Amino acid sequence: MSKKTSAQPALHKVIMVGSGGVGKSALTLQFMYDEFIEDYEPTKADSYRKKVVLDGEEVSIDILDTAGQEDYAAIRDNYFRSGEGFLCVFSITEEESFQATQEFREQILRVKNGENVPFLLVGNKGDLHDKRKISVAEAQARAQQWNVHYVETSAKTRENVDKVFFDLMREIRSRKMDDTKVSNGHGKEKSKIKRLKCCLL
Amino acid sequence: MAVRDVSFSSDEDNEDEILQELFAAGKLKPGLNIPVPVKKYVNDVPKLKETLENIKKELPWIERLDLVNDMAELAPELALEIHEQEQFVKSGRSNPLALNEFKRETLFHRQAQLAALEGISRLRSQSVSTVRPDDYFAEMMKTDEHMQKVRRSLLQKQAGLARSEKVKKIRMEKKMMKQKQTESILRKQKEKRNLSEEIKKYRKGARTDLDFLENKPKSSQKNSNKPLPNNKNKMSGKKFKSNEEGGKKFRNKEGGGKKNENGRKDKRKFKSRAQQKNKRPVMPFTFHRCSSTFSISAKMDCEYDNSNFPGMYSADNNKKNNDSDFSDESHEKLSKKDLLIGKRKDKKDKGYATLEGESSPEEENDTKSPLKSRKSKPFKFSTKKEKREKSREKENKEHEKDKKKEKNKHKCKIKDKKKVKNAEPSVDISEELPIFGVPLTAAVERNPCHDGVRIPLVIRNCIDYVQEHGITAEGIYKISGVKSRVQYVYALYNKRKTVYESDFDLTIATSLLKQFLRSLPEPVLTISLLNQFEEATLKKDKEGIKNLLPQLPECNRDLLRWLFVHFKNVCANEKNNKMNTALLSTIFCPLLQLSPKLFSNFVEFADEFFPNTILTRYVPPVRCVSPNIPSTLESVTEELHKQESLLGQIHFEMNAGFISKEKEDELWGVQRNITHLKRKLKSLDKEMQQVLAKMQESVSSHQETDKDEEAETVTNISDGSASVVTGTEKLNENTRVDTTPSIDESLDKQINYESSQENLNARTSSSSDDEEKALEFESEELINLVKTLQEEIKIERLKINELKAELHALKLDTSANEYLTVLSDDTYKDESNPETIREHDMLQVQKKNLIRSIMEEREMIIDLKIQISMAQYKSRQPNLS
Repeated sequence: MSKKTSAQPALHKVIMVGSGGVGKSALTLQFMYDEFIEDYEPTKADSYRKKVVLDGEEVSIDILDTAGQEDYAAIRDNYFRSGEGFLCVFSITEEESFQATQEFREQILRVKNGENVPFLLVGNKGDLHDKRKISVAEAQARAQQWNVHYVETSAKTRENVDKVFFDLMREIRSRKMDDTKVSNGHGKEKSKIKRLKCCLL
Repeated sequence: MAVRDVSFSSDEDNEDEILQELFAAGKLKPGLNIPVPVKKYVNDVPKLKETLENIKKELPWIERLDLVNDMAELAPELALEIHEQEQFVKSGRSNPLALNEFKRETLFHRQAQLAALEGISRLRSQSVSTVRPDDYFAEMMKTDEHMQKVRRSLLQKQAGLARSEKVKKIRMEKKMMKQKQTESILRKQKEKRNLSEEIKKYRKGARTDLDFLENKPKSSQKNSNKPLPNNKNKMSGKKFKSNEEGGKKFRNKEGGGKKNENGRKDKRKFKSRAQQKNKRPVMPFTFHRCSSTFSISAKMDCEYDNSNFPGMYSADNNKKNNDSDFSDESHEKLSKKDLLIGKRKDKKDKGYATLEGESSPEEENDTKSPLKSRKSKPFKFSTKKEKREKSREKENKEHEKDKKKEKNKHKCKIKDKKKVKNAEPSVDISEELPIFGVPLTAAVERNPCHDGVRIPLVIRNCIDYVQEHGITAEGIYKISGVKSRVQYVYALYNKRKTVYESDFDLTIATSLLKQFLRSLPEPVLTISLLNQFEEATLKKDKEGIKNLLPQLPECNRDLLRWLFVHFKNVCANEKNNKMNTALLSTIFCPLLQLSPKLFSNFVEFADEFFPNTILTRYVPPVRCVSPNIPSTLESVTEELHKQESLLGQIHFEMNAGFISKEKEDELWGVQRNITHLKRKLKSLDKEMQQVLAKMQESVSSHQETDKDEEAETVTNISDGSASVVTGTEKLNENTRVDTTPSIDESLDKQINYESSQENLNARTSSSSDDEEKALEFESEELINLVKTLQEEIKIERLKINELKAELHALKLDTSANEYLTVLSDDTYKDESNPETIREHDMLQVQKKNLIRSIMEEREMIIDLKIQISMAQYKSRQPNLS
């Protein structure tokens, strides 16, 4: 086991969600390649992989940048199902995008069967102070209600960009650890039950 | 008539008239209307209070929620307004009544306001929340779609529960059945034992009558709950029973038609068994019923006795004991034998298990010979009870079958609708969405080639393999592959696993191809068009077939295209593979369901029917993009298309409910590939644009230098462009040939100029010999270069003249020439389409770049030459000194 893990670093799958034009791709690209793209081009779905050092341990992060538009909702479920952590992005300059986060949250919980998924509420475009429509308190309140953290970022200035990804990865990691603990505890029973089931045939 | 008129008049008139009539008749008199006495209202306050006291319940306030309070204070602006109004009224300008309504309303409002204020504060003090939760409206705002989803998932859950319950039921039923069976077996055995005991008694003389044979032993039923005896005893018991019965039969045979040896033999056997039985521990079996089992067992014995008697025992004994013989067998050996026989019988008994019901007593007296009885009895003479049991069993079985059917139906439905979104991981894609045995369109959809060819990947791979490895193999398509291996590859395809070339061999590929075609539910030419095709063939109407082809579905056409072009290739290699059209047609006509004539037609004219078909080898989309990423624009876009097609397929499969860890990983991987390719494409695009921009810049700058520095070359270029205009094949050549020298010249001059300047500078500034020498060499080289270039220019000019002459010769007409000369670059550009213009520009740019690089190289050469001569000079100098 230990050999395997050393050979293949742990893989965390992160999914970016949020309505169109809030800067999901910009955040992703800033994190991946340190670049900021001004012109807006709607994403259908993009996926990236990067090796990073998380608390002294080398891990891989898979980032899936999804479409904000409703047009691609059909394929979204397939992605949500395989995601381990979610960055729910909205734009602090756009009221609607903030309202939409509620819907995304629901969708994720539905696909994930309501388990406590690693989740971060991200308010992007933090550099546009003068156009702010959503106050920090408002966003904080929602985050608290969901029992998640709220972080404000700026893809343009790279403020907090690394932080959100790393925070999320930490959450995923701890979540995975919990899972393995649980499965170790009940694993034997489960396997027994399964074996018995097989015998029935 | 009058009545009618009345009825037509209005109601009021009608009433009046009636009243008047009544009055006239004297029925209506003044004073007939009795005044109703006015009701007196008693405001009995103390009584009311009393009842109120009675009704009143001492409930906590939170239950009652009543409030008695004053009016709330007026809001300042409202107070002002009312004050103004009062003043207004006082001043007498308006009627106070006009404001009364408003006043009353405000009073109500104020009271309510204070009540609300007080009530809320009271509720708060009792820690009752007074505000709706934040997500109250969010809950309400859910879309219909979402609610439907919720409903669907609920229904699904319900269906799942129902299904599992059904399964449980079936299982329980099965269990019950088994229990019943074992019970009945136990009972039978009990009865058998009892009967045997009775017989024993009879034999010993303890009993004189054989009544117990007629009356079913009822006592045995009591003990039916005894534990199941072990198998061994059961078996031997059965055998034993049968022997006993055989013996019984023999004795019972009163004038029974046929005398047979069997009976005697049975008797012998019976005796020996009986002996053995005496020594044995109690055997837990009984005679359960009489004659029907008798007949069965008699039959058994007959079988053994008739056919196997001498051989069987010896054979059996030979296995265990060579020296044992039937005549002098010991008890122990006998028991062994019993075992063996029992085992054998057990096999047979299984067949009769359901038939061994109770038999009627009258059967017992049946004097049919055992031979006869065995044919008919077991089935015919079953009692009602037995029948009932049987029918019940049947019912159960049918029930089960029905349920299974239902299940299957359910599955089919699922398959058809492809609605299972949250299917269990155990669902097998090869069963739900197979590739073989489904309509071609479905097969193409499920197993597509990702490069746009609409035939199933299986076929593509098979054809690829044959084209590559086996086109010359002898007897190709004649020999079929090893079945197990073909099945293996078949399963791989159905399971959507990657099939490697190592899994293939020639015969497997051909067999798989044939199998696919065989399993198609509809002929490739489609049922509706097949006849028309055949008719056209009979009429030798090639055009007719050609016209019919476009009517086929796209994938059918593509499949035909690939198959027949491939077959043509096979036939073209007849020398090697010994396969011709006739041989192929014998193999493929039944598979494709067409006549040999049509087949040979297709093969023969494959090029005509399916023009421009190239069997390209299929390159699957790459799995991992980073190491072998294509670098050209075309290959990137091509790969991107493939990846997108693959992604679509994955989504399709996942939406159909086949979700697994690998699938998800694959999804992410493919998505990553696509992203990577897109980025690559973008960067390539950018590069291209940059290069283009640079080129254009350089072109313009060059043109400027051209114009500035040399007037002569301008004419040359114009000449060149004139020849460009000819639009002949020489276009590229000409432009290159024409413009090269001119630019060379210009560049040369530049260089010369620069170098001469340098020379001057050098001469003035530097004093060392070496440098002087170097400069000398350089100038020499440059002069040489100029000379060679000038020569080249001369040659080029000659060539230009030659070409011009050629042009003249070709056109003959001078006017054409004029026309050509009139056409400048610009007009040329205007006339041709933008693409060629751009191409032209690109070529120009490339040309200039080439020229530049040539010049640079020349300079390098000069430098090197200088160095060489310098070295030579230095080596010479020490010699001189």
